[in-house]
Amino acid sequence: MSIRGVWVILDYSDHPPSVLYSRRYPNIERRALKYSSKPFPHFPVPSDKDMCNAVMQEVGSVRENDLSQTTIRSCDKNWSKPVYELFEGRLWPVVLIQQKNIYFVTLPLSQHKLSEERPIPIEIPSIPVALELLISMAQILSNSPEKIKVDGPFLSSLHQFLSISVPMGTILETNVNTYSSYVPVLTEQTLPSQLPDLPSWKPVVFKGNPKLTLKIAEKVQLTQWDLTRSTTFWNTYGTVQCKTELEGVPEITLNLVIPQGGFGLRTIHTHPSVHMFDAQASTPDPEETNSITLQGPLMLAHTTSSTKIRFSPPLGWFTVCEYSCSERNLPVHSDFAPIKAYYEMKGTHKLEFYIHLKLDERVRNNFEYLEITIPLFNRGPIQTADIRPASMQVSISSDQRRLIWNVDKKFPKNLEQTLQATVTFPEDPGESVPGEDPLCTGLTAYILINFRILDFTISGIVIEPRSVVSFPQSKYKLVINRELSSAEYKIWNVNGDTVIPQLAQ
Amino acid sequence: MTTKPQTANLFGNEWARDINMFLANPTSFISKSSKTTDLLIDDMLMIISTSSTILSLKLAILHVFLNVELFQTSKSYLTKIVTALEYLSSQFVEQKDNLFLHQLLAALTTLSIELDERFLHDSIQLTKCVDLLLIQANQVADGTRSERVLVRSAACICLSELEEVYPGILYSKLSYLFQYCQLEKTFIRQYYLSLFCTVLRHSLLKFKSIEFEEQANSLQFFFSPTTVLIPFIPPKNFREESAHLLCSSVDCVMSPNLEKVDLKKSFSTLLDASTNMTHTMLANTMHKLSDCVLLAGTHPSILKILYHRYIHSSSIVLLQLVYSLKAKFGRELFDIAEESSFERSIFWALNNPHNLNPHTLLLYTWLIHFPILDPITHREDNRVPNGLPLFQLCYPTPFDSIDLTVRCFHLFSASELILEEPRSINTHLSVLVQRVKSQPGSYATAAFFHTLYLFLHRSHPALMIQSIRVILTDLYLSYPMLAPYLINFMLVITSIVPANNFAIPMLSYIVKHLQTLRQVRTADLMFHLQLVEYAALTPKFNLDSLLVLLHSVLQPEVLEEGDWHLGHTILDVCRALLLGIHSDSQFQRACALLYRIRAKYTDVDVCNEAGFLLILITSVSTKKYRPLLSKASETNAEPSLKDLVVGTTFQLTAPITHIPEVILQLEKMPNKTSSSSTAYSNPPTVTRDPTEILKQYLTATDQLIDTSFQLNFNLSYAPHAKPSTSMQTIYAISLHLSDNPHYHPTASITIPKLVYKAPSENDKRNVSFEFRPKLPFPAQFSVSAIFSLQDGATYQTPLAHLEVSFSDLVLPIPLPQEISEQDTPALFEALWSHLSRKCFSEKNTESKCTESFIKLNKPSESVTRILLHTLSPNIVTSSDNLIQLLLYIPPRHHILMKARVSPDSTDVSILTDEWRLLSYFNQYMHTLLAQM
Repeated sequence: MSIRGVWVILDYSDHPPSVLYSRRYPNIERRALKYSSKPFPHFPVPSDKDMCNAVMQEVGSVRENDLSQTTIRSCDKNWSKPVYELFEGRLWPVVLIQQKNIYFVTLPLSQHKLSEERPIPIEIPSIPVALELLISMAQILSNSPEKIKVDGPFLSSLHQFLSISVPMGTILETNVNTYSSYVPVLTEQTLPSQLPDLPSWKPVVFKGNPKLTLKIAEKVQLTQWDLTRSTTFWNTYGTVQCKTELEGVPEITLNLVIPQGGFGLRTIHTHPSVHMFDAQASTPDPEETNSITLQGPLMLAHTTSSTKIRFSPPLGWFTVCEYSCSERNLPVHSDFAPIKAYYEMKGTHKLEFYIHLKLDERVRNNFEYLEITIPLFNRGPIQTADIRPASMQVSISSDQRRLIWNVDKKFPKNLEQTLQATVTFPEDPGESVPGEDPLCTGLTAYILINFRILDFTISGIVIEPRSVVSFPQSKYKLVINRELSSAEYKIWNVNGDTVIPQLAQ
Repeated sequence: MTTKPQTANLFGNEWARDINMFLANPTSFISKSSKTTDLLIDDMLMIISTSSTILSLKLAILHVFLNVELFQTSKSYLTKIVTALEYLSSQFVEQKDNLFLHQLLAALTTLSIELDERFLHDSIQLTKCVDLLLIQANQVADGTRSERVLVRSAACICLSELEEVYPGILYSKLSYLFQYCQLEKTFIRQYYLSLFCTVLRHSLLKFKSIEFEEQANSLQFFFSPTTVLIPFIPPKNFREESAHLLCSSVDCVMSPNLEKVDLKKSFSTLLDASTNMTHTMLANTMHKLSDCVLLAGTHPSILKILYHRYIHSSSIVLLQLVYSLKAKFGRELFDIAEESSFERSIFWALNNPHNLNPHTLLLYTWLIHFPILDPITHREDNRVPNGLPLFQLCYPTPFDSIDLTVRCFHLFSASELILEEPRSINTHLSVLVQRVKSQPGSYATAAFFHTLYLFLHRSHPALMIQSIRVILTDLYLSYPMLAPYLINFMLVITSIVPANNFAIPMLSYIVKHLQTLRQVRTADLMFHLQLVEYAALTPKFNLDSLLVLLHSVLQPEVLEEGDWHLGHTILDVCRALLLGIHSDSQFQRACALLYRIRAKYTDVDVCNEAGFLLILITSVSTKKYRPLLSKASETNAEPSLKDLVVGTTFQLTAPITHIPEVILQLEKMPNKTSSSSTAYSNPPTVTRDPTEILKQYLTATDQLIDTSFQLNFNLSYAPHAKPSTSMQTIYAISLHLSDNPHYHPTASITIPKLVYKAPSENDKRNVSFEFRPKLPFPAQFSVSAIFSLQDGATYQTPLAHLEVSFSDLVLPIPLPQEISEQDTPALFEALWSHLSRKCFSEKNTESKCTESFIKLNKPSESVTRILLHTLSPNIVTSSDNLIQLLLYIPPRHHILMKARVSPDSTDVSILTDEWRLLSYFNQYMHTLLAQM
C-alpha cells in the first residue's frame, strides 16, 4: 500500500495557488511504471506546477458558491470524491481532500496490470490508506496559522511525520497518536538499555503519576422547521474515550450502563481491539463480534442494561467505542428535542424576529455555555439592532452579519427563554462577504444553537466507577467525565423555505 | 570521501527558505551560488557528516538528495552521494541521532536502487546496500538493546522496499527472516513480520516455475538456512525474474499433496502477532498473507478470524481488508449470511455520524460498485438481506453535504423503490432544487443536473421523463442562466432518451413561452438565445417558431442599443437556423431577419457580418454554403476580433511544427571580433609610476559595468540537408541560444531570408552573437531556429551545439584610455607582483590566485612561433629568451605568463587570479603545441 507522491497545495484568495510542500518516491514510481499496461499507459508523476494547475482545474471548476465559474461541469462526469482523475483521465487514482484553503493530494499505487478495465476503487487497498494519510496530514496542519510559512514549524512537523510514516513510499503509519508515540523514541538519544515487550501501537511506556481518564462525549444534531407540525430531525451519537496514564500495558475493564429513562443505544461500534460482552456473562466469548446492534423501534429503555468492555489502550486519547441513539445511525423524526426552539422572522430591510426556546425537562438545566447565532446574510451589514428585553446579552459579530445571543447558563423555572429584535439594513446590500451562506435570502433563514452541558447525556449512558478495573492492579486516579454538546443544531424560520430532503413516508 | 570543499556555509541562517528555493529551481540556485554542482554536493555531504549540524538541516539535505532530479540523472553525482551515504551508514555507532540514521538508511536504499536501475545494472551497489541492511536486521539476536531498535526497524523497512522493487531478491534469506520474527519481541516486531510476509509471498510466486515433484525441496529451504547471511549474493537473472513475478497472477501454485506444516505455522505466527500491529501495518501484512494462503492452496478458514475481528470496524482500511478477503476467496471463506452481514456493515459504516466526510464519500463509492458493477435496473435483488430496505439507508439526511446528497441519490436511483414511486421525484429532488434556486450556476447546480442524469441513466427513464421535463422547464424559466447546464444535459442524455421524447417538447414549450415575453433583460436574452441556437441545431425541431421568436427579439430598442455580444449571439442563431431551413418561406424569413439586422443594427461589425451572411446565402447554393456555416457553428469560442475580420470559416494557423533533423548550420568564422566592449564609469587619472598604473587599472576593472565579446558565424543550409521545394526558401529565421548558468542570456537574432542552392553556392548569412560571461569558463549552447514558409506555416529545428571555447574567451587586456600601450610592461610587472602577493598571503584564505609552472620540451623556435602567431595581441614583451603574455578572460580575470625560452625547452610560469582556469589553459596549450 504505497504512494507515488504527495502534495500540499495552498489556495489563498489573494495569491495564486501554489505548492507548499511536495515529496516524490522514485521507487514507487519505478513500480508504477512496471505495472502499467497498454490500456492504461504509465503517466509519470507531474511537476509541482502541473499538478497544482491540474488540481485547481478539477476543484476550481466546481468551487462551492462560485458564481464566476466559466467552465460547466458535464452532468455525466463522475462524482467520485475523494478519488479523482486528472489530466483528462490519464492520471488515476488521485486522492484529494480539502481543509479550508489547503488541498492535500496523493497518488496511490494501483497494482492492477492484467486487467483490461480500470479497477474499481474498492479493489485498490492503497486508496483508503492514502486517504487516512491525508487526513492525518490535515490534522497536523489543522492548528497552523492562516498563512503557513514555508520555513515554519508546521511544515517541519509535516516533513517529519512523512519521513517517519512514509519514508520510502510504502505507508507504515497513519494514526497521528501512534506516530506521536514513536517520536520520543526516535528523537531521544538515550533509551533504556532494555525495552519491554510492547505492541507496536504502544512503543513506549508511560512514566509519571498514574491516572485513568474516561470521557463520554455525546453530540446532538438537530434540524427543525416547523414546530407546530413537529417536523424535527435529530440524531444523538457519542464516543466513549479513554486516556490511560498507567505504567506497563494494562488491560482495562469497565461497565457501560444505560439506566432507566435513557433513550437507549441503538448501535455501538467498538475499536477492533476492544472486547465487548454482556455484563452478566461470566466469561467473554473471544469470537464475539465487536458490535451490538439492537433491532426495533426507538424507545426508552424500561430496564437498566449493562455492557462490559475490556481493552488494552494505547498512549493518548483512545476511542473505545462509538454509539448512536438512532436506529441504523440515521436521524430520527420525532417530537423530542433537548431544546425546542421557534424562530419567526419577517421583513426585508427592516427585519423583525422572534425566538422562543424551551428546554426539555429531561435535560439538565446547567449549561457550560449556551449561545444562539442568528445569521442575517446577504443583506449587507447590520445598521441598528433593537433588542427586547434589553437585559439580554446580544452582540453583533465582527463582520456585522450575525447577532449572537449569549443565553444564561440556566433557564428560569419555566424552562423558557424568549428574544425579540428589530434589525435594520442598508437599502443596497453591497457585495457578499466570505462566509455568508447563499441559501439565506429573503425569508429563508435559520438560527444555530451552540451549547455544552457537563455531566449529562441524552442517552443516559454512564460508566460505573466501581466497575473500572485495570489488570495488573495498581493505584491510580480515576476521572470520569460526561458531556453533551451540540453539533449542527439548526432551527429554520417558519415563514421561509427550508432545505431539507422530503422523506417518503 | 571527497576533497574538502571551500566552505561549509552553503545555506545561511535562513536555511529552510534556502533549501526550498533550491528545491524549487536547482539550476538557478546553483548558478547564483557560483559553485559547480560537484562542489555543491560536496558541501551538502560535509554538512550532513558534521555532528554539530542540527538534525532538521541534515534531514532537509537528505530530502534534497532524494527529490532533486538533477542529482539523480548524473551517474557521477549519484555515485558520489551513494558512496558517501554508505560510508556514513556504516559508521552508525558514531551517529547519535536515531532519526537521522533512520532516514539515512532509507535515502541510501532509495538512491542505491536509482543508481543501479539508471546506470550500473551490475548489482554491486545493491549488494553492498543489502549487506549493510542484513547486518542490522540480524542484530535481533542481541536482544532488545535500544540503540539497535530503530536501526533494525529502518533496516527491515528498507529490505521490504528492496524486495518490492525486485521481487524474489531476498528469497534465499527467508529462513533467517522467519527466525527473526520469532525472536524479536519489541514494538518493531511488526516490521520483521511484514518483511517476512513480503518475501514469503514472492517466494511462493516462484513456485509457478517449479515442478510439483521439486516443490518439497524448495519448501524445506524456506525454513532451514542453507546459505550464510552475508555476503549477499543476488539470484541469477533476478531482474528478469522480478519483472516476471510482478506480472504473475496470484492463484494456487502448490501441489495439494505437499506437506505444508511449517508453512501453516508461519501463517499462524503472522496471524497471532497481528493484534499487536498498528492498523496500517496490519492491513499491509494481512493483504500479503491472504495472497500467501491463496498461493499455497491452504484452506482460507485460517483467515476467518480477520472477518470476525474487523467486519464492524470503524476503520475503512480494515473494512477494505475484509472486502479483499471476500473478493479473493468468495464462498470458500464467507457464507451467504456473512456476506450479507458485511454488506450491512458497510451500510452502517457510511451512516456513522462520527465519520469524516471523505470517509463517508469513499464508502459510498465502494457501495455503488459493490458487489456487482452492472446497472441494477432489472437485477434480482437477492444480495439485499431480507427486511432491509435500501431506501432508508441511502436517502439523504438533513445534515448531508451536497456531495453526500448526490451520492445518496446515486444509490437511491438504483433502488427498486424508485420504480414504485416515480411520480414523487419532484419531492426527492426538492432539496437540491432549493439550493439551485438560492444560487443558480453554483456547485449545487452541477450536483442537481448530475443527479438528474443518474436517475435517467440508472432507472426506467420513461417513467420520469415527464417529471424531469417539468422540473427543468420551471427552473429554466425562472433562472435563464442555467442554459449552459440545460444544453449540456440535453446533449448527454441523447443516448438515453431520444430528442423527440425530451428535448423537443421541452424546448418547444420554452420557445412558446419566450414569445409571450414583452421585456427581457439583455443578460437573460443571451442565455435564451443559447438555448434557441441549440434548438435550431436539434433535428426535426420546428424552425418556424424560432424564426418568429427571433423577429420578436429584434425590438427597436435592441437594434438601437447595438450590443456587440448580443448581436453576434443572434447571428450564431441565424447560422444555426440556416443549416436547417428547408422551405422557401423559412428561407425568406431568414433573409428578412438578416436584412433587418444589416439595416438597423447600430453595431458596424454585426452589420457587416449580417450583410456577409445575406450575400452568402443569396449568392451561393445551399449545398455550398451549408458546409461553410456548419464549420463556423461547430466552434464554441466567443466571437473574437479575428472572427469579426475573417470570420470563423478560415482555418486557424497551425501551431509550430518541429523538425527533428538538422537542416541549418552555423559555421564559426575564423577571425573573431576580439573587441570587448568595456564601460568605465569614472575614468582614472594618468600617472607613470607602476604602482599607480596598477592602481588605475584595478580601479578601472572594478568599475567595469560589462564585458562582452562577439563571435561571428555564417548561417547556411547544412551540407547534407535536402530540403523539400517549399523549404528551399525560408523567412524570418530566428536563432535562439539556450541559457547557460555561466553566461547572461544571449539575445536571439533574426535573419529575414535564407535560400537553398547547390551546396557549393549556398546562401550564407553572417550573424554575430554577443556573449556576456558571468564566469570565465567555456560553455556549450544548444541552438534552435524558428522560421516561416511562404504559406505562413512555422517550423522549428535544432542546430548543432555552439561551442564557446577557451580560445574564444582569450581577449587582449582592456586598457583604460589613460594607460597607454607603453605602460603595459610596467602594468604586467605590477600585476604579477600583486597576484603573487595575493597568492602566497597566509591571511587571505579566500584567494583564488594561484601560480603554476610547466615545462615545454619543444624547440624554442616552435614555441616562439606558436605564441607569436596565436597570442600576438596578448604579448606584452618579447625578447630572445623571455616572452611575457597577459591574457584577459572576461568578465574580469587574468592569466599572466612568463615563457623563458631556451634552445631545447621552454619554462613557463603562469599566474592567475582564478585557479579553475588553469585546467582549461593547460588543455589549450597542449592543443596549440600539438599543432606543431
